[in-house]
Amino acid sequence: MKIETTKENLLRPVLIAERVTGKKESLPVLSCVVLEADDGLLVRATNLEAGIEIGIACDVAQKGTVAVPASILSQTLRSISADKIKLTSEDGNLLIESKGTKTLIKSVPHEEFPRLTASSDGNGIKIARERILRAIQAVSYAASPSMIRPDLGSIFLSAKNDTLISVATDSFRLAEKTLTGTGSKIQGELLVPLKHALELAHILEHVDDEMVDLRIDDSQLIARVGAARFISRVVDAQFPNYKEIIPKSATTEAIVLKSDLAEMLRKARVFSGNDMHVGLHVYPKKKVCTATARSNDVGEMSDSIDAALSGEDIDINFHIGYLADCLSSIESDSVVLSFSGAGKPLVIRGVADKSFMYLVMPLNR
Amino acid sequence: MMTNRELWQNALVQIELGTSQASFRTWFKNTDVSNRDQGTVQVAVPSKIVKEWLLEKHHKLILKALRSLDPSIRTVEYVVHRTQPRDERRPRVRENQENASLDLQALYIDKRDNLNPRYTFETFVVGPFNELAHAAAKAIIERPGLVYNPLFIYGQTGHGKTHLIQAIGNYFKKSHANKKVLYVTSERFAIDYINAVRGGHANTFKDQYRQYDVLIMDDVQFIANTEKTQEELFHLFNALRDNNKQIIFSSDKHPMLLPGFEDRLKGRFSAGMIAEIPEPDVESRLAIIRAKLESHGFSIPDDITLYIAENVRGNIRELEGVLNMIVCKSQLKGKTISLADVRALIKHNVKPNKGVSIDEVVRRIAQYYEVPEKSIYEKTRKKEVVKPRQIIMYVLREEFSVSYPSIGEKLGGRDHTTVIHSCEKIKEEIKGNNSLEQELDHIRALIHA
Repeated sequence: MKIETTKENLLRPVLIAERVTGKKESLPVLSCVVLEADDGLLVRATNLEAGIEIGIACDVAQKGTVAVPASILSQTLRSISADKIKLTSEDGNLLIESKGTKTLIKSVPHEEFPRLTASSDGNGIKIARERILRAIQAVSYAASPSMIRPDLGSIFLSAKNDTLISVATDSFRLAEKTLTGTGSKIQGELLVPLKHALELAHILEHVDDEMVDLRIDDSQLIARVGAARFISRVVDAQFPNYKEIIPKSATTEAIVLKSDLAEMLRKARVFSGNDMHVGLHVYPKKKVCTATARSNDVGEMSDSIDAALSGEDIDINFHIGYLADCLSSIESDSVVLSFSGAGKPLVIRGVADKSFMYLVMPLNR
Repeated sequence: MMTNRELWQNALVQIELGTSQASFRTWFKNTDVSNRDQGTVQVAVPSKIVKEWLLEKHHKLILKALRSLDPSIRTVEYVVHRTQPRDERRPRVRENQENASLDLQALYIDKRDNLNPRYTFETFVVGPFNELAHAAAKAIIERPGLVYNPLFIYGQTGHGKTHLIQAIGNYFKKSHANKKVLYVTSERFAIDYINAVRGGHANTFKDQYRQYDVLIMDDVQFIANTEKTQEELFHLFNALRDNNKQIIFSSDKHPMLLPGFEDRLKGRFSAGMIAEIPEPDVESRLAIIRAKLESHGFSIPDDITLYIAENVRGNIRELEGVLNMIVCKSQLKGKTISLADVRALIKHNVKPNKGVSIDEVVRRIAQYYEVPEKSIYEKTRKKEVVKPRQIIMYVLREEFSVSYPSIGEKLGGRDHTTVIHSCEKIKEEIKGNNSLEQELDHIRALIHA
């Protein structure tokens, strides 16, 4: 193999691929990135659950394939100061040359590297990169970090009639984002493990192409964006029928400025103690919307904000992190808090943002 | 014949010799034989990447290893099973801290009708023992409120009453979205009523319950001796039934034998259809065990399932507990479980057939007929004593298979021919006398209670 390219062109794909390599694999080639020079250069990595392939346009003088440990390659490329670099495989090792620097990296037999097959048959959804990125980021924090319950440790994607809905819940709160106008008539549902969904989001953040093509093939999710292709295992589980738990009507409603609410929660956080408790007190008749927090060790606070209120009086406690988590996902200046009574979930929505819904359970005490 | 797991374990030993250590660990971790059918073996693998690799690189080796163990195997297929590899199931500490928050339980149980979606007809195992109850439930689904109203299901705890009646509710919920269904335990009903009376809105309580199209009340026996609650239930019952709304009850006893209930309520319980779910027979228990294991995605040899079915008597809930124990144990040990293991595991669940002493039988039956217990043993031939005495002999013979001579001996030193005569007489009388048959049913219930 003999190719010439720029540092920028190569470093970014290698850094993305490095994240998808296996960490504690017994097969050495799984902690490698594979560089395959054919028409252009193809950078590949997998940890058997997910895989990535990124194509780079470059000057190929001689075709060939080489596999080198991902961390060593990325560190080497990062430390190169010159812009032009030359990669050559020599006796199975990889020689990297740039202005004044020569590096030889011991390679690993690449024959053991698995094939990442993915058919491109059937219908996929074509969607703007920004939008699918938002759909993942708007809900991912609500998924459970553990895979004990695979349905809760995954992000649920459901495509139907021109819309794509993403949902995540850890059973204490639930976030739902709806994308409309996908222009696809495909119907289908799948669960992507949180880890891989975040990886996809990371990739989408670091590529330039504007359209993403999503499709499902034989129990894997395939995302194509530009010259990159990401493949992830999907989980075989039933996502809870979450529509059932969304309260149909509210007993108390408060409309507040998002920035006010965020500021109030920030103040309360200091005093919320280890339990992270915050009490919300909404009294429509007295026109009061207050948050209180108290910790035995630190002290206590109370803070009131302006709000448009209606309905019955309510006092209710929440985990402060669960409340604050959703605010950055709401694309609207003011938010509606819809309470359904003590012990019932609170629904948070943006006033002008119909695409996002967040539901959080109160605390037990 | 080897089980799937044994087959695969043995094949893996051979495969390990034919590949490098690293590649064996990488590619054969979390694989298993998921199905085997007429020479075709399905190997379950964790991802498509693994599937492609095995197909391309190790297919010959795998086929060779499998065929050396079972020459009838012709082809090997690979399927992706999408469950999580086991080693990722480590619980994380963070989760415990979050438990202060209320769980979204409503994800699993619908608060409006209290129905648990887990209980459906699809998961209900039908055997000879619960055929009648199941058929009645199916009939209700066809024509709610018109055929059997109310449906009264009784049987001991853990025989599947709740499952069946919730399945009816879930069916209505799914197929008739406009029908309002409510599942409530009698205890909940009583509490609601008491709260309503205390809060001074008894009328809203009445209206609230009268709006349902299907009312399912579980474990009615718990509102025994609650006069006002029963009266409320009585009025609710009349209101619903007059409007052809379906009502379903469950209890642990036949309605006529329910203590602490007013006669007018008992009469109404019995007005529709009464179906008993008795203890499951061995075949049904076997079927239940198989169904449960399947839902666990687990298989154990037939001799073990048979052993469990024959030895774990009593209710299905216990059976489920035993199975969970076995599944857990074998996952812990990471190998298939042997009959000896199972024996050790369930020794506490194996119940000897419950023995009832002859004295006990005599006492209960004497009590039932309200004659002094002593008089049974005496030589007296008064009519009111003779009948209970004969029934005691009959019951001892038929239910407990006590020998004729020892029955005679126990009941005041009578000759065995007397006992034979008594048993024959009662047998004859049952044929032409319906009320005697009923009496015997009650007596059986009393003795086995």
